[in-house]
Amino acid sequence: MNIIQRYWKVLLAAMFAVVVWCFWGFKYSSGLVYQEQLQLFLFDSEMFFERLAVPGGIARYVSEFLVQFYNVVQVGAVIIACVYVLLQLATWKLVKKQKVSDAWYLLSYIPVILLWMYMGDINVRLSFVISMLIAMTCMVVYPEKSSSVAKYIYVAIAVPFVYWITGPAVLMFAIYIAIKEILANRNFLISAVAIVLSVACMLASAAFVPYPVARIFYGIGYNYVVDVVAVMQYIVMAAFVIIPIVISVLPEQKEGKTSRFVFAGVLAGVVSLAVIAVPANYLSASYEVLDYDLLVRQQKWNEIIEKAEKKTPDTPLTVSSLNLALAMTGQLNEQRAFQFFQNGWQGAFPVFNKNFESSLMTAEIYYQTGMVNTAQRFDFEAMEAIPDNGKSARIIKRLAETNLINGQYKVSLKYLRILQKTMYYRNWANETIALLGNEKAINEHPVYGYLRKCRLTKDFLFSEQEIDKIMGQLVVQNSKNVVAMQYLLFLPQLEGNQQKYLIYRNFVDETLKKQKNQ
Amino acid sequence: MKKLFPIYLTLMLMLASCMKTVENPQVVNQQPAIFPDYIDVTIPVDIAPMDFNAQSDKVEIIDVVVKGSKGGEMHVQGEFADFDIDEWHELTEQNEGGDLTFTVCMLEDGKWTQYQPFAMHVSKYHLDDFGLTYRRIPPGYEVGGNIGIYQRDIHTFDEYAILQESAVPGQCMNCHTANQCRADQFLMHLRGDKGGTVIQNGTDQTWLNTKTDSTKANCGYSYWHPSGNYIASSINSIHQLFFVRAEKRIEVFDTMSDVLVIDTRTNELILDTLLQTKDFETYPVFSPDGKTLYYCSSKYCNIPLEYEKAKYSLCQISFDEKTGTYGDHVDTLLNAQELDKSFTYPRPSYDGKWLMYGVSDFGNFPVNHKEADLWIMNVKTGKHRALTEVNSDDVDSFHNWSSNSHWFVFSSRRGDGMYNKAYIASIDDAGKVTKPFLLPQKNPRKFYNELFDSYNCPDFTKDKVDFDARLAGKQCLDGERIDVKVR
Repeated sequence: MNIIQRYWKVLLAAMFAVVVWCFWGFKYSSGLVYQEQLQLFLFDSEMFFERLAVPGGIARYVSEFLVQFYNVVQVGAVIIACVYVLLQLATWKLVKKQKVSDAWYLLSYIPVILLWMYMGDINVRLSFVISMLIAMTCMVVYPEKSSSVAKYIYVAIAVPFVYWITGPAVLMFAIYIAIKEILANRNFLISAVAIVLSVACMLASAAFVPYPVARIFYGIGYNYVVDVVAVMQYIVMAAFVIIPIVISVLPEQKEGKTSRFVFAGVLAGVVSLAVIAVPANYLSASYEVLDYDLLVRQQKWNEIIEKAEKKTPDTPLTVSSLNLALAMTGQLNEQRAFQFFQNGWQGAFPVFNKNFESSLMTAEIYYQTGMVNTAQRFDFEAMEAIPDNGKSARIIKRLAETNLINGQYKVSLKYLRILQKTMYYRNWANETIALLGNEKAINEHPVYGYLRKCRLTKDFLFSEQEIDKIMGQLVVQNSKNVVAMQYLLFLPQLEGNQQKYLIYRNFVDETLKKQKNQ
Repeated sequence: MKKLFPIYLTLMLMLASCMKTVENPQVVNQQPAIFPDYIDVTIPVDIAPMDFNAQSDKVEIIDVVVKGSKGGEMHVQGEFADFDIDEWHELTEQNEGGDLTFTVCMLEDGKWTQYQPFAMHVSKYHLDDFGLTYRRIPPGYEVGGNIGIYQRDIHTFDEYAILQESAVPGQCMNCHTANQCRADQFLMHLRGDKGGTVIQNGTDQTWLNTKTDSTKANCGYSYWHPSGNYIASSINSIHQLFFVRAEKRIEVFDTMSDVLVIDTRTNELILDTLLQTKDFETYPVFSPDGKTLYYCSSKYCNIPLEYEKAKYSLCQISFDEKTGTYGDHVDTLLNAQELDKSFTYPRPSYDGKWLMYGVSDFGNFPVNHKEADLWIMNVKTGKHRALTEVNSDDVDSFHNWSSNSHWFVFSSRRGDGMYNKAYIASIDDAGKVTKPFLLPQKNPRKFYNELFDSYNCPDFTKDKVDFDARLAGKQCLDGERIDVKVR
C-alpha cells in the first residue's frame, strides 16, 4: 500500500503509457505505418544539414529518425507512449513550480489528451509533438526565480534557439514566460521582449526560407496538409501553456475527504475526456482506408476478406482493396464479389486524382495484374503527391522493383543505393542489388519473373475507360495471369453489361481450353 | 600573411602525409572507368572542378595526378577525385588552349591499379557567364511535385533557388526564360489556380494574365526579342497520354497551338492569321537581330488519335521591331513531311551563325522521345547536320547557348535513361563541336544518385539572377494580374 501511495504517479504514468501503446500498437497501427511511408530518412549528413536550414528542422529531423521505427508498429507505439508521458511529466513539472495540491494532479493529463485527440488527424506529424516537447523542456528550465538579468539573457538566447529547433512552438515558450512574469512579478517588459523576439525571429526567417509567412507561423513540418490550417493545433499548443498555469493557481486542497472528492472528480473528468473524446477524433473512415492499405502492402489477402466480411467496405479505395484481395485468392467472381458492396469500375481501379493514398493503392492493383509500367506511373505520382514534397521509402522500394522488372537497371540501382542508406530497407536493397543484370535470377524470381511474363509486348496508349480491354491484352499475353482474367470478367459485371460479359467469358473459356491443350 | 605561411605549409604537409602511398600499382592497358565520363572532354577555363568518382562501388580510394601541358600539377586522393577550386582554376588558366592529363590509380581489395592516362582539353573559348538557370522537376507524369527554378554558379558548386514551389504552394512553374542570358530581364509562367506570367525587368516584377477572349490559352513557350520590347510566345492546349510499356512512358501533345508576340511596353498581344491557323504553331524564337521569328509548325491532324502524324516543320517569318508587325509570308526552312522528322525547339546562337534544334520522329515534346537528338544549321548556308559529337542513344533536348555562342548546354537522359542531366559542349568558328561534359558536382556520383529531379530547360545566365521570391510568392497568392489586350 505504501508503495502505491509513494509511487502512484509513476504507476499512473505507466498505466497511461500502456493504454497509449495498446491504442497505437493495436487499434490504430495503420496510422503509424501511413506516417512511415510518407518519408525517407537517410543516414546522411546532407539530410541533416537540409533540415537544419529551416526553422523547426531539427525537431523534424528527430521525428523523422523516430518515425522510421514505425515500420515495427509496436516500437512506434512505444515511442508515442514515451513522448506522451514525457509531455505530461513536463506539464506537471511546470505546475509544480508553485506549491500545488496533488488533488489536481490528473489535470496535467489534459493537454496530452488533447494532443492525443488531435493526432487522430492522420496528417499531424510527430515533429509537432517533438517540437512541443522541446519547447516544454525549455519552459521547465526557465529560471523564474533568478535575477532579471539572468532572465533576459535566458530569453535572448533561448528564444532564437528554440525557434530554430522547433519552429512556431517557440510561441508557447514566449507566451508562457510572458504570462508567468506578468502574474508573478508584474514584469511586462520581459514578457514583451519574449513575445516580440519570437515574432521577430519568425518574420526575419521568412526572408531566408522559401515559405510564405503564414506557413512559418503554422509550422513548416507540423502537418502534412498545409493549405488548410488546423485550429486544433493552436488549441493543443495553448493547452500546454495555459493549463499548467491554471492548475498552479487552483486552491490548495489539504489531505482529507474534500481532497479525495476533488481527486475523484478530476479523475472522472479526465478519464471521460480520454475515453469519449479521443476515439471520437479518430475517424473510422480514414483509418479504414489506412487499414486496408496496410493489409494490401503486407499482402494479407485473407485478412482483407475477413475484415470486409465483418464490415463491408464502401469507398473506392477500400472496395478496390477488397476486390484485389478477392482476385489474389481466386474469388473475384460474380457469386463472391457481389456479396459485398460494389461501386462500379472505381471499386476495381480507382480513378486517378493526384492523391497519395489512392495513387499508391491503385498502383498496387496494376502491379498485381501485371501492368508493371502503369504501376510505376501511379507509384511515381503517389510519391510526388506527398503533401510536403517529401519522398517515400516504401515507394522507392517499389520503383526499384518495377525498374528491375523492366530491365532498367541503372534507375533501379539509383533507388537501391538510396535505400542502402536507410535502416529498414537496407538489407532488402543489398539483396536486390545482387539481382541487377542477372537475367536468369530475375526470370526465376517468383514475383519478378512472373510479372516479366505478364508484361505486354505490344505497346499502346493507356486509357482508364478501356481497362477491360487492357486486361484482355494481359490475358492474351499470359493466359496464366488469373488476376487479370478475373478482372476482365468482373469489369462488365460491374457495369451490368451482360453482352460484354458473355463475349469476355467466351474469350476466357477459349483461352483456358487452349492452355489446357498445351 | 607571411607569418601564416609556415602554419599553412605545416597543414599541407600534414594533409599530404595523410595520403596513402600508391605502392606497386598494377599498370593496366585501359583508361579508368569513371563517373562522369570526363575522358577527352573539352572544358572552359575556370569551370568548377571536374570532380569524379570511380564507377565501381568497390573502389576504396582513388588517387589522381593532373598535369597541365603548359605547366601546373595537382594531386588528390580520397573517396573521389576532389579538386580544390582555387588550385583547379589556376591550373585551367595556366593551360588555356592546352591539355590536362589525368593519371588515375584506384585502390580495390588492398591492391592499387594504375590506368592509362586520359586528357581533358582546356578550350581557348572562355565561358565567362555566371552560370546556368534551370528548372528542377521530378521526371514524373501529371503531379508536379517539388518543382523549382534554380541557378548554378558554374565556376563553383553553389546552387541557389530562384523560386521554389514551397513559396507558391500548389502552383506549377514553367521555365525561366531570359533575354539572351541577361539576369535582369526574364519571365516565368506559373500554372495553377493562382497562375500568371511574371516578367522581371531590373528588379520590377509585372504579373500578367495572358489569356484573352481571342486566344484559347495562356502564353506558353516564350522567347525575348533582343530589344526587350517584345516576347514571342505560343499558346498551347497541352495534354499527355501514357504508354503501357516501359520503353516509352509519356506522349505530350497539343490539341491546338498558335504563335503570337506580346508587346511588353503596352501588354498587348500582336496576332496574325499566318501564325494562327488550323495547323499547330509553336516554339517561336527571335533571331539575334530581332528581324526574324522562327517557329515550328505541324499540319493539323486529329490529336490524340493521329499523334504520330504530328510532325513539325521549321519555319520563319520576318518581324518589324519598329511597327511590331509580321511579314506577309512564311518560309519553311526544314520541311517535316519531306524529311519525315519533327523539328522543334529552335535556338539561334547569339552571334547569328547557328540555329540549333531538336529532331525526333514525331511530336513536339522531344524530352519524352528516346530518339530525340540535337541538330544544327548554318544560318548563312542553310546546311544542317546531326550533332553526332554530342548526341546519345537516349533523349538529348532543351539546348541553349552561352552569351558568347561558343558553348551550349542541353539536357540528356543518357546515363540512367530516366533523369535528365545538364551537359555542356563547345563549338568553334568552323562548327566543330567537342565531346560534352556533365555539369560538375562535388562527389558527382553521390550527388546525381541521390537527386530525384531532372534538369529541365537549362540556360546560361551572364550574371546571378536577383529575384525576390517572397514578393513573387505574395503577388502570386494575391492573384492581382494585368490583363493583356489584343492589339
